[in-house]
Amino acid sequence: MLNKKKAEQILAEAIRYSPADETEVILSGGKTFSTRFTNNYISQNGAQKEYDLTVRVAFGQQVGVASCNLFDGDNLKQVVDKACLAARHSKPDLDWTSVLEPRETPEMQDAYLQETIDYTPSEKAERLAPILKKSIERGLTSAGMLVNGDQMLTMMNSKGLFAYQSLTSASFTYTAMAPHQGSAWAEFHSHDMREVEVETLADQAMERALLSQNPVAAEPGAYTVVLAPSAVIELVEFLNYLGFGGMAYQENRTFTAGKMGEKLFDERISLIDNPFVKEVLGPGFDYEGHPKQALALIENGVIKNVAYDRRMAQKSGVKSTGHALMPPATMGPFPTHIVLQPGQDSLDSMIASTERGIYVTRLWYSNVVDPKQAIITGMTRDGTFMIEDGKLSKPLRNMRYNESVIKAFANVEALGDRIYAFHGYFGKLAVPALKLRDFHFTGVSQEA
Amino acid sequence: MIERDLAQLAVDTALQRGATYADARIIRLQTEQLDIRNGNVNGIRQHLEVGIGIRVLVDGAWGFAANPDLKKSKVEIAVDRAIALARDSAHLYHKPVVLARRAPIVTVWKSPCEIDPFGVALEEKLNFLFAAEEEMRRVKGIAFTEAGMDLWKEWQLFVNSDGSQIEQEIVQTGSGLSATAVSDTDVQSRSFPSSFGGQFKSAGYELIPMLNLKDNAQRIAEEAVQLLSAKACPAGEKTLILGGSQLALQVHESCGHPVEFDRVLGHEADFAGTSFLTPEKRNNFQYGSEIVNMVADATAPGGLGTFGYDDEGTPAQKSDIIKDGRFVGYLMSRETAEGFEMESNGTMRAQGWNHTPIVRMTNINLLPGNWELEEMIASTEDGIMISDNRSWSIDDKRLNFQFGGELGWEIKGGKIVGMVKNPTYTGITPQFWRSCDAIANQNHYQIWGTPNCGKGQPMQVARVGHGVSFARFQNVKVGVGYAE
Repeated sequence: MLNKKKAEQILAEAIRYSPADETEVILSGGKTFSTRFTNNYISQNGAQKEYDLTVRVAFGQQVGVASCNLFDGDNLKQVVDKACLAARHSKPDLDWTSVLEPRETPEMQDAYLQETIDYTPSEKAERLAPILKKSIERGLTSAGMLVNGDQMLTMMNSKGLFAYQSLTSASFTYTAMAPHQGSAWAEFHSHDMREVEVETLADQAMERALLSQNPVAAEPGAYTVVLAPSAVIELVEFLNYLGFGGMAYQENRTFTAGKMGEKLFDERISLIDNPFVKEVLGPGFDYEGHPKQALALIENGVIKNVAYDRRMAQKSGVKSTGHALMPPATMGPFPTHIVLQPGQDSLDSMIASTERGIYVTRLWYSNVVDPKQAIITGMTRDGTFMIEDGKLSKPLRNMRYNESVIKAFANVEALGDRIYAFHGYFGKLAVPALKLRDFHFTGVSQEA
Repeated sequence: MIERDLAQLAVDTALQRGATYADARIIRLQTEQLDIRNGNVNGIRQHLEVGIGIRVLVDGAWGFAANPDLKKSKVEIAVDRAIALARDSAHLYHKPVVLARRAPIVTVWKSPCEIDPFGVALEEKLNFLFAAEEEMRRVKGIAFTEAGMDLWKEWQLFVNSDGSQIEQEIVQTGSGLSATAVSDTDVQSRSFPSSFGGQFKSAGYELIPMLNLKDNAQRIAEEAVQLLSAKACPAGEKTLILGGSQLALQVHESCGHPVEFDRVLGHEADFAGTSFLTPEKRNNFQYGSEIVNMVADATAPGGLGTFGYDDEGTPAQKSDIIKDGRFVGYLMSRETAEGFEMESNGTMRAQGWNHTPIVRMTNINLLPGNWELEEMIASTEDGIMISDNRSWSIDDKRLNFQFGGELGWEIKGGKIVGMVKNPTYTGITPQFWRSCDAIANQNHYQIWGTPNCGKGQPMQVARVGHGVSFARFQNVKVGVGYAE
C-alpha cells in the first residue's frame, strides 16, 4: 500500500506541474489477492496491484481530465499536460464549481487491518481445504473465491485540501452444486479476514444444495416471497439506481422526482447512505474531497433526500451531500454506501409465518424494464423453494420476475433483524432479509 | 531494459524457478472518452496505463501475478509471487492442467487503421460531436441529449515458454448519440447507431464520420418525443423481427455465452453461471432452425473481437458454433480443449495486463440468409420489429431471457402501422432460435461492437463483436414486464 506520506508527495508533485487555475488530483487503487476454486480445486490464484492517478484541471470553466498508472516525474507531468490540453480544447462547462476549500476530512484509523492484508495464499488454501474435502466426500461440486486486499483513496486540490483513507477487504463467495440441478449460495464481505467464517458458510450452503435437487416448476403469478439478504440486495441496488442519483432526480428521470416528502413505502423501510457503518465501510469523503455523513434517503417509508455532488447541488440550489464519483462522473452523483435498516423479524420466523409462498436465495441478472415506474426483471438463482405451511416444501426451478421496486417495498410483510454486507455495482450495501406480498413471477426456466 | 527482454526474462525466470509453462504479456493501453451533454462538455478523459501480467504452470496448477512497475527487480518479484501462488493451488485436490500443443509463433500483427485516432486534434473530435448533438437539441420536447466518442489503442507483447513472441497493436473507435424525452410518468430515449454508447469497431478515426451521426440526429430526437405518447407494446404471442444491436445482443446472450467452454465446465459457476449446452449436446442438439448458422470469427474485418492472436498465442480463427441449426462447437482455450482432445480455437483473452486470460467471445456472428428485410415485413401478418436494445436479462444457464427495446414498430398485414413504446419479449433460448424462419441477406449485415461484456472473478470487461442482419421469429411472447 502506498502510504499516506508517499501518496501526499505524488499528489503535491502533480499539482506543482499544473499551470491551470484549479487542479484536483486523485490517487486510488490497491492490491488484490484472489484464490478462485472450481470443481473442488483451486483453478486460479492471482495477485494484482493497481493504482490510478486522475487529474482534473480547470482554466476558468474549461475542464479536462486525464489519468494514468505511472507516477514518476516525467509521466506525472505528462498526465497533467494531457488534462490541461483537454481543458484548453474544451468548451466552457457552465456548471463547473470551483474546487473545494480545505477542510477537515475524517480518516478512520481502524479500517486498515494488517492481519487482513498479510493473510497469505497458503493460509487461504488451508482454509479452503476442509470445505473442498467435504464437498468431494458429499458428492458436491464447489466453486467460489476467497479474496483479501486493500484499497486507498486519497486526493488533493490546488486550494490545499488533502484527504486520505486506506481500507482492507476480505470477501468469500461460494456456490455449492449438487447432482440433479441442486445449487446454493453463500457470500460474506468484511474489512477483517478474521470475520469470514468460511467453513460455516460453506456448510450451510452444502446442506441447502442437497435440498435443492430435482426442482419442479411453479406456476407464474403473484406470490408472497421470503427473500434472503442475497436476494434483497438486487432490489435495493435498483431502488438506489432508479431513485437517488441527484442528476437523474434533477432531470425528472427518477421515480422519486416530485415525490420528496411523500410516503411511497412501508413505514418499516428506512434507507441510509453511511460509509461509517461497519458493513459498508468506506472513505469519509467523496471524489471532490467533500466530507460524508449519514444521509437518510428513505425514512419510515418517506422519501427524504437524494445524493448530490457540488455540481448538481449548485444546479439544484441545495448543498452537496458528499456523493461525487470519480471525475468526470458523467452519470452524476450516487449513494455508494447503502444500508437498508433492519427490522424485528428473523428469517426463520418469516418462513414459519408463510402459509404459501416462495423462498428466494438470490435474484440474478436484473435489469430495468421501465425506469419511471421502477419496474425491473431478473431471475432467481441458487436455491428457490416453495414455502407451504411454514416450511420449505420443495425446490423450484428458477423463475423470472417482473416487479416495480416501489410496489415491492410498499408490500412489506416482515423485515429481517440483521443486516449482511454485499458489494454491488455502485459500491457497498448492507441489507436484511425481507418478506413481501404480491411479488410477480412471470416465467419459469425450462430445460433445453 | 527493453520490453521484449523484460518479458523474456519473466518467462525464463519462471522456468528456472520450477514452472513447466509460463507466459508474460506487457501491455500499453491508451484510451480517450469524450462526452457531450446538452451542448456542454460533460467529460473528457484520457487514460494511459502500462503493466505486465505473468502466468505460470507449476506442478500442473496456475499462478498469476501482475504489476504495473516494469523494473527488472519488480518483474522478478511478480514471477516469484506467481510461482508461489501456483504451488499453493497445486496442494489441493487439483486435476493437473495440460495444455493443447501449439507451435511457437514469432510475429507482429496490427489491426487495420487508416487514421490514428490519437493523432486527431481534440478540438476536431469535439466539434464533430457538438455538430451532431446540436441537431437533436433543436427538436422540441427533448429533455437532454448526449453524444460520445470512445477511442482505444492497445499495444501488447506476448512471450511464452513455447518460444512464441507476438507483438500486436489493436486500434478501436466508436461513437454514438442519444436523445431523451421525459414526462412526469415516462422516460423515453432513442440512440444512434446503437444504444449504450453507439457503434464500436476495430478501425481508426476513419470510422467516425462514416457513422453518419449528424444525418440521423433529428430523427432519433423526434422519435424519443413521439414515444412519450405512443401506444404501449401489445401483449401476446406475435411474430418478432429483430435487427441491429438488439439481434446482436440476442446472439451475445443466448449463443455467445453458453458456448464458452470454461463456463460449460463450471469455471464460472460462482459468478456468470454455467451453460445448458453441455458436452454431450455437441453435434447432437438442434439449437435453432436449419437456417441458423453462427460462427466464432476473430478474423472478421472491423469486429471488436478481431485480433491476430489470442492471449495465449493461438492464431485468430473462424470456427462453426451452430451449423444448419445444430450445435457443433465451443469457444476454447488450450486448457479446456486438451481435456476433450480438441484444439484451441483461439479465444483466450484478458482485460489488460492485470487479469489472467479466460475464454471469451471473439466475434460471434449470425450468418446472413437470403431474405430482403422488406420481404420479411411484407410476409408478417401480426408482429413487432425491434432494433435497439434498452434492457436485457437471462438466467445463469442462458435459457430464460427477457429483452426490451427502445422502440418497436408494429406490423399488421405485412405493413408497418406505427410505433409502440416499451417493447419487450421473452423466451427460452432453443425454442426461440428454432422458431427462426427468416434471416436477412448480406445487404443488411454488419458487425456490432459490444465493449462491455462482463465475466470472470475478479470481473473482467471484454470488447466483443457480433455480425448480424435481421432475423424473424415466430410465436414469441411480447409485451411482457407489466404484470398486474
